[in-house]
Amino acid sequence: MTHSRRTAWAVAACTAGVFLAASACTTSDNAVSGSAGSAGSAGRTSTAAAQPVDGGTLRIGLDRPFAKIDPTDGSLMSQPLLILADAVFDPLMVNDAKGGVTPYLAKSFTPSGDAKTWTLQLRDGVKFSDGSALDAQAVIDHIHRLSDPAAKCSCAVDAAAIGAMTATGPTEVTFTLKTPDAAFPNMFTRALGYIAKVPAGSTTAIGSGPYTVSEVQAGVSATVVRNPDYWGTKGHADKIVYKVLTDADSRAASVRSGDEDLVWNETPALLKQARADGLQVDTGLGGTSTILINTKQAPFDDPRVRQALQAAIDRSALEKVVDLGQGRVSDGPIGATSPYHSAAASYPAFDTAKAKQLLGGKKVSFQYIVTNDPQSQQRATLLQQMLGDAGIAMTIKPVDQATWGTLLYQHQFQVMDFVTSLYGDADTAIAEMFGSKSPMNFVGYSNPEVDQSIATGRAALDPAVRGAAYNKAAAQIVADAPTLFLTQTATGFIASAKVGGLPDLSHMTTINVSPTQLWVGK
Amino acid sequence: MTDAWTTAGGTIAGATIATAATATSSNATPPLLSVESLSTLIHTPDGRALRILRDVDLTIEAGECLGVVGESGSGKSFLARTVLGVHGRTDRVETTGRVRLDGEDLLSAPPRRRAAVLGTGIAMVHQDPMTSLNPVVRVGEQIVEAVTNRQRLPRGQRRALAARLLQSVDVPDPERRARAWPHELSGGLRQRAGIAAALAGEPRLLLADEPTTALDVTVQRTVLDLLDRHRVERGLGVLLITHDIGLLSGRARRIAVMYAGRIVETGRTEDVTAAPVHPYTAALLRSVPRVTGPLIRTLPTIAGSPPDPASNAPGCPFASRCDRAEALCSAEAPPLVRVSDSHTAACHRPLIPAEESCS
Amino acid sequence: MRLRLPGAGRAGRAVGVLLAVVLAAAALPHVMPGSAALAALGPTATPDQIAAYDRRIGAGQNVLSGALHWLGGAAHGDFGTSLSTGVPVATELGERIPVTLELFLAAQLVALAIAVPLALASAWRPGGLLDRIATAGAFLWLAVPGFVLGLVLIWVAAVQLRILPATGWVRFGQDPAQNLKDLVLPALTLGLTEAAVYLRTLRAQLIGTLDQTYIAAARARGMATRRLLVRRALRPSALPLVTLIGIGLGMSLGGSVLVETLFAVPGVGNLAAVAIAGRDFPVVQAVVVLSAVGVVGATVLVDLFYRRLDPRIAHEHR
Repeated sequence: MTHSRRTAWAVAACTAGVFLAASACTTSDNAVSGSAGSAGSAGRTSTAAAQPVDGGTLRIGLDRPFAKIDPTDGSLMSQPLLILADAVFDPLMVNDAKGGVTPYLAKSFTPSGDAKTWTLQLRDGVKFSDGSALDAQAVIDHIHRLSDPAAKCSCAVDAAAIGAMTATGPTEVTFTLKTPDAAFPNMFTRALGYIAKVPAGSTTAIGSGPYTVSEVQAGVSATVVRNPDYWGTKGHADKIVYKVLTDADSRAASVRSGDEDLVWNETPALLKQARADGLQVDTGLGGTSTILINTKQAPFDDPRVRQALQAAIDRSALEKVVDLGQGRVSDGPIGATSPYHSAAASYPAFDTAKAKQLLGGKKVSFQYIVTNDPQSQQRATLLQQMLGDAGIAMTIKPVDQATWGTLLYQHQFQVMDFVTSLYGDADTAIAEMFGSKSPMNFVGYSNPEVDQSIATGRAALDPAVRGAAYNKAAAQIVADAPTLFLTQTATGFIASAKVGGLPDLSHMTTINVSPTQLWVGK
Repeated sequence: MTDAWTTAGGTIAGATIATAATATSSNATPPLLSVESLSTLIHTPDGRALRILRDVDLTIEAGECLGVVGESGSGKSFLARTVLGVHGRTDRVETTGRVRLDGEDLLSAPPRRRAAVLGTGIAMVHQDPMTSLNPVVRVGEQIVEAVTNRQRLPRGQRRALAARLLQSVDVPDPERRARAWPHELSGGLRQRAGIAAALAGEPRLLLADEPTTALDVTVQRTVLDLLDRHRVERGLGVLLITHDIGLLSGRARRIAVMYAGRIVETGRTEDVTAAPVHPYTAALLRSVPRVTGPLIRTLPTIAGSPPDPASNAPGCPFASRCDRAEALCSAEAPPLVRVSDSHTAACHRPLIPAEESCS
Repeated sequence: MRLRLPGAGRAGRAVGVLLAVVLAAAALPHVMPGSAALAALGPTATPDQIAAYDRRIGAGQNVLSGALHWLGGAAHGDFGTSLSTGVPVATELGERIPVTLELFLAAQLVALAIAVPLALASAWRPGGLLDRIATAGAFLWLAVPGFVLGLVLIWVAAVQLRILPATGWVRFGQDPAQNLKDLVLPALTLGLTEAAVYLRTLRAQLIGTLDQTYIAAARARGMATRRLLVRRALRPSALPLVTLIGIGLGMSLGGSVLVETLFAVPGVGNLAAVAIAGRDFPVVQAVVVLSAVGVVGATVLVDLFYRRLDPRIAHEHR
């Protein structure tokens, strides 16, 4: 028996605890000591050859089920599944490496001076997979379809900002907004921008993308084949098979075993393990973990109590323990890789004594609501300890996803765990989360100065002005502490050595990889 | 106890019975069953060693019925199982002595030979008809096992055989009964089925372990008559084990009385019942209630209880309960005394003076 | 007054149980925590939208009319439409039930193939070396949680030895060879745990059976040990085991959520897990009732099988 087989049988005899600490059990035969380069922060370790290979089948593992391949499906539009959406549909705009957005399906997207009127120019000659033209009218129809309440698209909120839209040319759409928005094109990097249509007499959506759907079983798998008439850069792989693999451990094992070429992963231990196993790991700081504090409920209507919580939390300890050094400490709503990020941004330091002083002897106890996600629960346990050191009694209440959503939307919480990818887009995030009139302002925060900064920023076409306004708002938000910012977490892909073409995601805060870039070698 | 062949090498207290032995055993063919100095030891899970049988000697001729009588715990069922060679699955048994079937010692025979004898040389009729038939197997299938365990029979032949066997034990409507499940038969019918099963392999020796104890009195007689009939028709040797000495009159030609794992008296039935030699036999006979005769208000019992099989005390095992016991009885093992040429007992103070003592 | 019709009692009870389950299923939208409408529609939902959604899932009406409505649909095969995919529930279930059944059957085969011979050998020599190893092994398996077992199997067979796939499933009709390979690890994971339970149950029964006189009587007729064990000892000892298998069959229609999720097997369990998290009530309700049908059906099957197994039972239930 070869050495690895003997190890295999030996370890098969060992039980539970060892495997639960996923990183522990392996005396991996081919451990690559340390990850290539970056001491643990998000980045890419790659071992693939540089020459693209055409043909073959790419096998991708998704972390959650999709209901249908249609931009109206919220799951499909979540970051882990965009790699499927990108195969079938084309987005009007895409995130660029500098943190901004750049046209893709669109040719240009230009504002008027007051940022209230926007003109979209489409590329010529783009067709849907059934041969019909993807023109201005198609875009308008798409937006109408998505904003219809029947579609249940969360993008309806975004679409509500549009006052009027008209096809002012065969490939030109003019939008008139209700209020100025310098970052209007950002909206079109997600559902609103993934132009799709449901042909008459059909119930399934089609797109103009580099691949077309050949087989789909909702929530289980989807197979797409290359579109030979694609207008853009054609994909390398002939066929892509997507499988829904909801369990994180077996999903990661699938890459190691060779059953999948590329899978989504955001579990810190598994990312670390993959690096050690010599697999390619390509991540960006796609998530931000925050704590929402309901400012309308005592004792948290008192900002000093909120600031006490803020001071009592050691963010770098959280990052080390929960993210295993692969993330980054967050210092506010503007992420480290955002173009608006200012080096001058500061966040109150960890100071338990200060926390106690802010409390001034007040007895604070509350219930912390958290989902079943293991990292969130781990974080909650640590928070409980840290807050306990400052004399704050926190009880943890785990709830399932649907209950969590209900409590959140109904503002029925005192303090709640909230991990989101929203902060990848500072323009939208600050306005939506902290604007006093925003329906997503779950913490009930209302600060007229912040509202003013948001308005200024949204109307400013000059990125410098925008940046200054947002940073002003951010500083205020950090000071008022309606939300506590903890860490930015690494999310992205684990791939086998055979996969080539993985882009560098380390500077991205929105993880969106198109499968046309990827190839699978022999 | 009966005589052992001098050539067999069994132990007998005293050797002066030689002349008497040759007188009674002048036939050249060996008896059907000859048990010589059979002793067994069981090792219990808690580490004790129990002597269940001690130096048992007996013989059965073909066509003869030997009754073995004794109280519960005397070892009579164990004797049958030792002769047969099938003990409890988890019993750890050490056996010494000889068990000869037609002269061949089974105890020293290879396991394969022993297994071949089961059901075909020696067969057993079990005590409780309620538990001796497998409730989920049809009666007919079980009856023919002694045959089908050794050769494949097509279904038709199996059925025919089962019906034939049931008919031979006077079961009415035998074809239907063969297809029946055990719980559909009455106790008496089940016991007959058990006898049929024992006869299926055409054995030479039948061990009947209390075959009627679990049956109604009215049925008992029919079953015993049935056994008798087959014994005579086939020339079977029968070892009839019972605790009821009254059963044996008219059925067993000879009786062996067992006490504490030993044979204490052997002789022709009429001799033993009319004129018991061993005090235990006498006490046993006294304790049988009689339907005729004066009404006895209290049944005579034997005071005390049998000795612990783990103990290895010298002397007569009945000494503590015997009203004729002397100091000698507890000190020394009793000799085999001969009262007539077929009637022997192991006793220091037999009830009838010995013709010859074997000491 | 008792009905004289044979079997009426049992049929009546079965129907009663199923009706109660339908009622319970209809109560789910009222009972499950959180607002399904809000979860589905998001924070911008208007009260009208919420009310409309609630009506759709039956949270707006009372439980009894919800149950009747469901029954009405079920009567002609309409189990509603999935709230998340828009696919008819009957279609989704139709795709998933065969998968779960296939997994269940394979797991049972594994479990019995391991448990029966081991139980026979252990019971024949209780306390012997094989018995002690088997018993210790059974305890070990029972103590190890299913997902750990599954992960260990994946690590050994898929990652290290690379002989079996870690996850995934193709239909038998599509590619039988691959389907069987996909089946091995999930079936082993399910089957090994079942095997431990079966082993302990059967062994205990066998030990009791083997002490019975009729076993000694069979041996006395010259029956060889192997034949004795398989043909004379197994059947009278099988009743509790058959009960367990029946219960397993009944519960299997609900699917094994854990194993199906771990190995990405597209069965009913997988569907149920996603539907419950997503509050997709039509799917959840259908799965709940399906499970109940499975349990009731399996109980009936087991009852019938009892009679075949032990003829005394038919006698009693006349």
